[in-house]
Amino acid sequence: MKKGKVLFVDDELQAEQDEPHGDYMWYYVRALQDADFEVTPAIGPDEALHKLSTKEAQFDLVIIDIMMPPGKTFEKEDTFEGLRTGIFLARIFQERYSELPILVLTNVLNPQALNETQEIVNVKEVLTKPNCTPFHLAEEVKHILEQ
Amino acid sequence: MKVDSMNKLAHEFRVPVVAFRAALERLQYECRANRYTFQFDHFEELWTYCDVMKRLLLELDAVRKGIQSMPLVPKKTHFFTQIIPPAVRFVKPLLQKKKLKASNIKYQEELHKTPELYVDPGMMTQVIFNLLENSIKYSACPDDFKIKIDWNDTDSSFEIIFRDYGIGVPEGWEEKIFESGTRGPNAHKYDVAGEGFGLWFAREIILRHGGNLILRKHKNPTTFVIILPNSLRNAPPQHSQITEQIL
Repeated sequence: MKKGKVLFVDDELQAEQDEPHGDYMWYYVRALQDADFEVTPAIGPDEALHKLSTKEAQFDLVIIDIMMPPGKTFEKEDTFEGLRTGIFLARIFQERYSELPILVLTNVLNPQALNETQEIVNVKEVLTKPNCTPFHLAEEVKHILEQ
Repeated sequence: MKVDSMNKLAHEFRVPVVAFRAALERLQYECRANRYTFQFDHFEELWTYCDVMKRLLLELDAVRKGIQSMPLVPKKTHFFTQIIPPAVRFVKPLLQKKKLKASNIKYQEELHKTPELYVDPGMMTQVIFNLLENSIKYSACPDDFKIKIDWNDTDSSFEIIFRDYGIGVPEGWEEKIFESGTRGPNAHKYDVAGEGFGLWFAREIILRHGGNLILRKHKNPTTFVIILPNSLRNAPPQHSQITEQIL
């Protein structure tokens, strides 16, 4: 039995078959799968919101990147050319799915952006990619879901 | 180069480091699971170099943007198990180069009595690394090489006391050694490489945690003290709420 269902939103999670060995973010997906989580990738806000809205989804946790293309969802918002897309997305998640925990995993090391994400109630953890290996991420997800 | 371009370049530079670490971890996992027919015995070495790259990127960011722009992500951390051992691991290539023994870095006494503190583990590892690197670079000779890391509780602070038996710091240089871009007068004499950012960066990180890094004794042993406020036992540093324009 799986330990939980995770929606993983990151624009670098391009379809694995597009490249012979997949993008490096797939190492994170594989580590979560090795830790017995069911992982659904989404490459941007449009796909993430669509997958969350389907009845059968019922995710236990969402992982989001901060820097992503805004997609149609945020095309009219000032996302600083995508530098803050994940913050906008996390706020929507909080409004629509108040019980859903969020883990932010980002390469953006800007203090203001990190502070803003930490202020969103559903955000349980903010991790920076240089400091978080794939198996470390799996441990953090496990820790959040056990709380 | 425009600041915006520099920030984007720094971001792009971080990606291969993250990718390499992720791939390395996967390779190690697969090897442990015996999914490959070959044996590979250099994981520790590769991890060390990965961490050195990560550390250099951090330092480059700090010099480029200023320490106040660096994010601080405090977590309850145990100094003597989560900070010092990885820092010692990172200096191993330098120790090998100077033919010094890692076993002469002593830090495990009365481990169980030390408290957990709300600090940024990555940043604090950098502080210990910089102090270690400094001691190693300025060590007098392999036979005398010794570093001892102790701790002390006071009414208002938790101190980490860092002693080395190297060439020492000349009188009158107590504060100058913490200035950005300053190198000690012995640097050229002992052919010590560096840009003079290590102690500056280390002190700035400690200041951002509400503490201080001081030189308490010049020589025999040269003694640096990291002073961290006792408030970090219960709460993150107030300085962590830093504001800055978005990238």
